[in-house]
Amino acid sequence: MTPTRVRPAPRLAIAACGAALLVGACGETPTPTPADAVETPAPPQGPPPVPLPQLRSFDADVQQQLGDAHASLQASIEAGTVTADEYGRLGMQFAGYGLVGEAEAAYLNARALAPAEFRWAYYLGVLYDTASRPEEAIPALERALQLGPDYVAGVARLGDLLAGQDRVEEATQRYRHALTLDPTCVPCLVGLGQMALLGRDYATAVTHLERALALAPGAATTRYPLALAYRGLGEDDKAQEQLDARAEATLNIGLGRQIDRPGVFDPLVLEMEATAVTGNVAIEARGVTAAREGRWDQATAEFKKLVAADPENAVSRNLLALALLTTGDRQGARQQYEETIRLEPSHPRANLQLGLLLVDSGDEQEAIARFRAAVQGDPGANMAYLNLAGALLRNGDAAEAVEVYGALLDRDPSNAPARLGRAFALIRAGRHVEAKAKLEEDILARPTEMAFPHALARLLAASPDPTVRDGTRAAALIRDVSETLQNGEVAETTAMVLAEAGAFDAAVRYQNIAIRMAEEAGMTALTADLRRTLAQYGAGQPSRVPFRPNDPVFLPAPFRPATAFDDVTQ
Amino acid sequence: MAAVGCGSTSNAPSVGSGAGTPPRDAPSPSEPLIDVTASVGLDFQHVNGMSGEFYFNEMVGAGAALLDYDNDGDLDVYFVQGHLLGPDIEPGDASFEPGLQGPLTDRLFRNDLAPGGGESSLRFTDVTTESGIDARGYGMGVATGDIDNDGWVDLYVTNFGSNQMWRNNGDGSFADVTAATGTDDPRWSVSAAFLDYDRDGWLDLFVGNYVNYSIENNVECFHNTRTYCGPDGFVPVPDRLFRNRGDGTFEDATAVSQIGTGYGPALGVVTADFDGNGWIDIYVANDLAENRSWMNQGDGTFVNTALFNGSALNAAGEAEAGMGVDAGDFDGDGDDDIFITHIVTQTNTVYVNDGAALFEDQSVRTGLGPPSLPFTGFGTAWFDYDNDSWLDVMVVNGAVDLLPQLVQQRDPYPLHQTNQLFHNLGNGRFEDVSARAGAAVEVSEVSRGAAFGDVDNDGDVDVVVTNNNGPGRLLLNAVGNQNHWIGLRMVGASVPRDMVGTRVAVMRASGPPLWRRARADGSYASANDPRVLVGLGADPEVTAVRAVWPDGQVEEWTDVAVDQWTVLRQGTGVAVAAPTDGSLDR
Repeated sequence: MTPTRVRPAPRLAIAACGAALLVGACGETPTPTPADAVETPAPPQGPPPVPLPQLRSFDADVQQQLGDAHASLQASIEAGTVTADEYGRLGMQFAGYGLVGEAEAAYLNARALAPAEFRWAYYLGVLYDTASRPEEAIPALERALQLGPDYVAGVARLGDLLAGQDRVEEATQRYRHALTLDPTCVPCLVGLGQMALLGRDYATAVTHLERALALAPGAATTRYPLALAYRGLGEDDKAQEQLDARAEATLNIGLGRQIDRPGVFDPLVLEMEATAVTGNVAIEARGVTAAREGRWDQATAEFKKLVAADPENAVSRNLLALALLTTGDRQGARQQYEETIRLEPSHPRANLQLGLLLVDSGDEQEAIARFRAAVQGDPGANMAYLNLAGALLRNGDAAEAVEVYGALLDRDPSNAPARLGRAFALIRAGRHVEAKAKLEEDILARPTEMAFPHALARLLAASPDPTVRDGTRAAALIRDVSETLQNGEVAETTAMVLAEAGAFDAAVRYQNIAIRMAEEAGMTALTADLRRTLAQYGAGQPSRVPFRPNDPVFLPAPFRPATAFDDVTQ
Repeated sequence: MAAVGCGSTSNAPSVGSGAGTPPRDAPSPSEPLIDVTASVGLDFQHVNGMSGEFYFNEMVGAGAALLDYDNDGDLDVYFVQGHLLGPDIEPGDASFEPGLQGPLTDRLFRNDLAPGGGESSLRFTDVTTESGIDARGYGMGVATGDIDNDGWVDLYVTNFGSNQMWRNNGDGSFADVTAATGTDDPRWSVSAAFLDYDRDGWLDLFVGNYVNYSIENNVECFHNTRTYCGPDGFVPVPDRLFRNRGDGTFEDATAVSQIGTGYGPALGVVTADFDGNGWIDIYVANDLAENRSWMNQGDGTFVNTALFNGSALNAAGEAEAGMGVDAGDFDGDGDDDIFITHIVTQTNTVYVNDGAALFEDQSVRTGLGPPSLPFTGFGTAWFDYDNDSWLDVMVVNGAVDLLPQLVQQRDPYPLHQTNQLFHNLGNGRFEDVSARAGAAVEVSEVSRGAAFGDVDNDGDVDVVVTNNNGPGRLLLNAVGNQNHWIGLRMVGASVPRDMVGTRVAVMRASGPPLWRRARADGSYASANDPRVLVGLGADPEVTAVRAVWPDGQVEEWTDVAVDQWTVLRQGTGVAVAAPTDGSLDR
């Protein structure tokens, strides 16, 4: 069903008329308003007249805007001075409010009066396209592009339309032409990739789609056809990498289900949208469109207008918060999220995002409260559970963290971050026997993920519980891990394993590697701890601390603002 | 009727037989479906309870079922009903006042089919009261299956609110066994399906759940003007899998089966063995979220492979607004392909199966995608309306957002759209024949459910269409039995129930096997005829019929008559070793 914007609402006013879903449904003839059903005489060339639709379902300011514009046009017609521009601009307004039939009539008149002007022909094609009328959109755009053959957005749009009609060769030609005009046209590259995929030319598809992804890495939708292209080549691992990256992008944008798609800069369409300047719904629509296309500055401006018009609207506040966050204004975003929560205390999205901001600023206790609210507001939100558990763990409440991870795993047993987090929480809670058992299960359940054998290797090498320690198995595990993973943490674990085996000289060498890597990463506090353990190894003492409280595994992930437009209705 | 190789006879009258008639040409595609609702006594009017509040659930229901509840050999009809909505709402508050006598409840109509076939043989009687079915929830959908293996088909009704399981007592009445069976789900459920996922001989139940909407948390939604909300304003709720213990109760296997590990706003459900490994899988069409392809691991668990197998998103990598869904072998290569209906501005989508459950989005290439752009599709099925041996497609449409053009025309219910019929050309492509399919297809209504089956037992597939806030309709097929056909009811060896999930191959000298499956699921919120009707075109020669039963056994019959319905009972055919190389499919 259609993604729609929601806002908390009083009962509909029109419900008062009983059978009142719609205008005209109250069992009586609606009283005509000045704006209703006024037909304008057609210009002499014969295009259709431009009626003013009944507007009572629109906000009052929209009614006013369209009524005034239509009256102005009518006056020009009666004075014999009407221009293509007047018809066209009215068409743009109609189109901006989704009034397809009226916009069509206006554009046809504009095109008839100025047959050599690209924009009116183009707008007509765009209108048909957005109204899902491809059979009319294609010839309209072809006609427009005869007038403006180098308008990249138009060429790409026509390519998409042709592709949608299985006119592969023609679509391919259009995409290629657009790329000669703009080699960075991402939708054109994606289009070429999809045409190749359709023809099962997987190698070519990969070439185009990888290039598109390099140009627009935030356009995560590209990763799906790319994954299918790799699948077609038999490169399943690469396919899975793309799917994982796509999933990661989904997580990055929080609770949202919408993933950014590659867009093309289309100044004429932006201008058309900007003509529908009145009404909160129109403002919001423009902001959402701008955000979806990655034009966050414009989105911020629109959402600010929206909040100014309706300060007590939580949805508007949440939209503005997201836009501010994405443009780097964390303080402004935090303020808007706080306002959102004031208006709607259980708002899961705002609570989660505010919690992340609070973690980033070091206010973990308040963050925990926000994450709790996010979990309560949306019991299906994995990110809220993970962040709540992580914050609890960092704040010394390992027992509750175990419970939170468990609650998430009850619902989603395959959730890898939760499995790993549960193991760390059990270790922090001193429940090493349980941690060992869970990690053994995790390794069986997710055999390709090195984090689990890595954690188990540490536990087996350095647990203070002698019934848990198993140096031989720890050595085997870290050997396997180091075949695919080499970093400072693996070096530190290797040192633990070697020390447990009594090979202290070798342990010192690996600990020094870990120290060097930590220094290079600027992790001063970690370096000091590593040096203390180094001294232990030098004295012939193994480590009995598998994970220190300040171990990197317990640190919050770096805060990442949204890279793509979220499901802002949450 | 001859009951070939099975020692039993179908109750279905042997009507519509084409035996002895000369080879036939392709039937005229004009007027393939005729609306006979008014003349057969099928008088049902759905009430969605709308009162101007734009309650989300008003727009989502409701479905219908075709089932033979009285085992008299013909299909009866069950309609799911809505309700008034909102606090203190009286009938006079509704935008369209229910012009009905008595309470708003689901309705059961008995088919009193007389010999002869066609419209004149049909007569339906409302037996709701006698049946004891008192379904007064805000109804969404219905699934059918024999949960206790007594040979009498039972009903599971999904609601906006608690669901109901109705056990068929075998005497024309039903008993509410929801509590006794443990199959209630108080969340908003829409489509459900019975399947024997653990191959223990008992039908289990999958329930697709939508979002956590309630009347109390209603919000305003806008799309230029006020309109109905979509699912993205609400949190999806998990689907449920109930395992039949075989003792009259079910256990909630959602967690242990891992079905609960991922979910979206589910609207459509279909089950089929997509990878041909002998274990039935579950496919869930989600609304604006990734679809789920739950592949049966054969050990009581499922793994969702939809992203990797290519059936989660469209070719562009976008989640679509999945509504109705069906699985069928439209391209004749022996595996089940998926068809999903979507909202206006999105194409309906065809995922073509390569036999190993790896799918390609071929919506554009098949010709099924582009014509759907202006429509919002719901109920659907792969079905061979003209019995030319190629599965065609019907889609019933009806918007969920107010249609601006109709609003401008001051239409009192500006959501209605025409339906669509697509003819399979046999070359991987379809032709949109809606414009010449006659009034029954061109009628503009707010259609939702569609149930497919041979209602008059004349050898072609008829359609029951449900309309939101509108009448239920019976569209009789007027052309199918101009071609040859073979009708099969697949029943168990020791239990006389329909063995849904059975794959059937009709072997021909003139071409590759025609693979179909016995199923009641698919479409939207509806239940289909569980029998298998296979169109044969002009060639009546069938060399054998093979069945791959849900327990994995393979049997073959070589003397099944064409142009009539036949009951095939498991264990009465010749056992065939199940090939492991997929050769059976080719």
